[in-house]
Amino acid sequence: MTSKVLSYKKYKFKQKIIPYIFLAPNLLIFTIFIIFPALIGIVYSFTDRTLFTFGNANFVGFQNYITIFNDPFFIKALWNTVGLALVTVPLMFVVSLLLAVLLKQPIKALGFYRATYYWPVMISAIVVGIIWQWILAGNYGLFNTTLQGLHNFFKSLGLVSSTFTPSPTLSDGRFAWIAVVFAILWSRAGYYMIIFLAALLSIPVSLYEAAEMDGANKFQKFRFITYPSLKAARTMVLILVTMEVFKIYPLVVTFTGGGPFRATEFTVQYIYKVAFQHYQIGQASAMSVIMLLIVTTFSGIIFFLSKRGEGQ
Amino acid sequence: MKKVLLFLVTALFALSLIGCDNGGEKELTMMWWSDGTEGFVMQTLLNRYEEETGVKITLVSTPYNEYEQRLATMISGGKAPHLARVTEGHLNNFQDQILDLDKVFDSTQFKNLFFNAAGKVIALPMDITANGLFINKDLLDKYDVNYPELGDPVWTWAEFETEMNKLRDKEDVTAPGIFDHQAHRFMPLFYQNGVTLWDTPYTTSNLTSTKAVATLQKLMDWYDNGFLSNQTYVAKNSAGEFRKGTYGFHMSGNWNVSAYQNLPFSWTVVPMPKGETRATILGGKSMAAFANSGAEKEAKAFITWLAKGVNHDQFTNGVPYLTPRLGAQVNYGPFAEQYNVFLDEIANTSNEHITDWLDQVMIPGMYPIINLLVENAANPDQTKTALQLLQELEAQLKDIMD
Amino acid sequence: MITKRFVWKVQIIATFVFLIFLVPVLYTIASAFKDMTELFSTTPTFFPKQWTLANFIHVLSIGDYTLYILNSLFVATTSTIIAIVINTMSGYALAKYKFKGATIIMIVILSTIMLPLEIFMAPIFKVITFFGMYDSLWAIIIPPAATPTGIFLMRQYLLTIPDDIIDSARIDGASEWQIFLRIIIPNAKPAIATLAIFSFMWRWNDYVWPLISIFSPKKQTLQLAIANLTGEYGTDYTSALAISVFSMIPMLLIFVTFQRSFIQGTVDSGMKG
Repeated sequence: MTSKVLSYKKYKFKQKIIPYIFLAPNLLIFTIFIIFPALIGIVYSFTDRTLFTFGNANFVGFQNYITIFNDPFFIKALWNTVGLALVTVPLMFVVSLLLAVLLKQPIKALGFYRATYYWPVMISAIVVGIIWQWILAGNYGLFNTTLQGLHNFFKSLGLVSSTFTPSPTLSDGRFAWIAVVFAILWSRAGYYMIIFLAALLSIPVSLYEAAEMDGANKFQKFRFITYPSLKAARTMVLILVTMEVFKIYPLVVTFTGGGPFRATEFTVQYIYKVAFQHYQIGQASAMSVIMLLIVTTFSGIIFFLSKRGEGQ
Repeated sequence: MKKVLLFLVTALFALSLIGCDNGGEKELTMMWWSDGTEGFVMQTLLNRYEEETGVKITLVSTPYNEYEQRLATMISGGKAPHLARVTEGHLNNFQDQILDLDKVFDSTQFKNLFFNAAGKVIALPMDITANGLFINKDLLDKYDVNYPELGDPVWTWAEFETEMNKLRDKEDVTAPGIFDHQAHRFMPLFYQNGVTLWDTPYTTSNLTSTKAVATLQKLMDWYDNGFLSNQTYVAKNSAGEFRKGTYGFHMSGNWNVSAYQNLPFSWTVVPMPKGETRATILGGKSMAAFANSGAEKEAKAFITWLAKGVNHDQFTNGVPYLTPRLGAQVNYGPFAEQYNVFLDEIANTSNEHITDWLDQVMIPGMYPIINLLVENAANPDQTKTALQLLQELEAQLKDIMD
Repeated sequence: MITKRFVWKVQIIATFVFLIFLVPVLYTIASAFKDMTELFSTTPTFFPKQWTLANFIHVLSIGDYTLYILNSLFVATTSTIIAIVINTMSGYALAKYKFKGATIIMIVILSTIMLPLEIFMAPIFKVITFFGMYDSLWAIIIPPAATPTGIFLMRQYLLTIPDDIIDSARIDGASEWQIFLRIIIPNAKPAIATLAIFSFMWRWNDYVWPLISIFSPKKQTLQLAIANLTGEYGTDYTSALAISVFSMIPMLLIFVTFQRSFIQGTVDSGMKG
């Protein structure tokens, strides 16, 4: 009888303390390398610290925030990034969902296709940038050559009579920006497609069978069964993509370098420049705090919108 | 399972030895970048130094476009290098982290010296640079473009434009010419048009005068009408572009003379066009030692050695470079012809212009600001006028001086 | 009603998408085998007329690319081992223990997703230098090993291990640590495999961590070295393409070997709430 009581007490004790021991390494790393820097960053944003301030920096209140909002390059980078999120997040959502739905159809070589759709996810962002820069480079890159081929094809059909002028591709700001959107979709859709696939697989087949018996067609099945069942996956994908787009950096480094003339310069790149090339840690930290607020707001909006629709 | 773990641990240990430093003897690092062969020349000097003194100095080469940033993070990260090749811009930015070299070498034997706020010398001048005009001889000869050589009457900018415009819209030509992306290459044009930047340094400037506005406007027009390639600001490596052989001229400086030695096409240096006068601007690289590097004495000892005539001349002759050492003779070897043009440019620049530029250079952090000026001038999407850009520049420069 | 026409239409669309994902990669790999003149010719080809290894040989001889590859290998492997250990421990704690702080800790871990490295590069740099880890490979091995995704992946999977096994082991007098080593880990192999692949991939492909932590040329990782090839003399395509192919090889090998189970594993532990 006593041993049973003792082991119960021991059991309760273990339940309380042991988990913390198991969690300790992760929590230690998170605290030191993520939470602590974030707090320091907030503090820095209110000081005039530079890369060479080796002691304590001076408190300057909101001066850095005022400076950065008067900095046309920060505003441009901010606009670029917010714009990128507004365009890429919905597109990624639609594309990855459609890919997942596509892969549920009876296709030959399904496994092979699925693997290929996923493969770009495993390529590093640096290499993805190089792949697309190579394809779009110059008048004889794959892109312009294909364009020229198509042009000549339509010409031979008599549909078009002009001579071919190669596209300026990455020397044109708008083209470069759109190319970045495309590269993000290309290299990441596979990842979100898998998340949707997993969710799709957990929808009971019986629901579909019942709907068929009621005479529902494909679109109706999608609208009333598939889509609502994906609620959790949908929210997760939206939030993850938002976070990812706001963090974008290595892809742009090798793809466009931020050019031409900052047309594809996004906030992470600009924060890096200001911190490590202009040495303004205080200002860079202020930018970081602003980015944090924006990202949290976007994620919060997505999260609450999805909660609100819970009544369905 | 245990065996697998054991194997993994051993393998990892073996791999980790790759990342190991060797302790022991004081080994110094020298941060360096090369436009051409100067890295190799410095390496031969370092080898000789090791033979003579037993002290090993490792040359760490970094691409120039990351150089300053790397220096900054190293210093900030507590890993300041012992020695580094520096431009006047670097000396400006890192003034507080550089050792003063008082009594380390005889500074009266050198020109192009830089001093810190306390008036102490902070670097050993290694070479002098001058801006100048490179041309692609093959391309120009192919299209009958006329150009003056040393000794001929110097051309005007109008004549220059007329001739170079013969290269427009040719299949094997990307653009008649290309400038480097730094504002430094454009600055001589101000002096050539009779504008000194400062009337009274740091209080009254001529940056917004009609002549200055006209000069900047000319640059903007050149980018607008395709006379100059805006690849300059896409790749930010105009030397790399010029190497492709599709440009008639490259506005750069003497450091590319030895860098261009193996180009697959025939090139040379010709006199820059003149405005009201001829002018080039001078710059230079120096060797500096950093504080808190852990081997400050040894770093200074190296600089003393490097300042000795026989060693210093081995460097300037080896590349070759224009020398800042008084009384030194440099044998330019196969590059004599090109260097004579540079020497001619320097000889024909008035002292007033030279000192005016030195005043400009002493403004801390000025390089990024003037670089922005030319980048804006080249940007087809920006809407400010030349006058507005110059007014901005003037305001920003005065701002920093406060 | 699945008509033949429908199947046909869907097959075409799927194949079209397949080509969009395949062709860019194929073209890049093929281009790496072209010599310089063919690479920049004004009459371009898709597959090389002359297959050549010149670019690969060139890239391995200039610079220290073999060193960079070894560095990346070392970093990715070590970090993966650490990641497996600590994330499985955390996943286990959150899955199989009931304790008061559980929800708070989950929230804290989730919040770290909102505080990414890219946004806080400057203060993270300062922290790394504070610990004297600047320019040490350990700075890109240890901190990134703790990943919220990894923790939740393990947790999801470990939830499926029946409690009875654990409880009966306790009754038999096993220590918590023994339970972890002898019961949890062997039963979590699929999830551990998935985590291992992800972790290796993330560290192999890392760019921003090495960017702010390393400066010595000898300690560079592969991605850092590849990024340096762009923006120098324009982009040095002969080297960049070849080294990019090298970079893709380990991931390709892993992918091809584990593809089936890996995608399955992600799907399984992926989305149950």
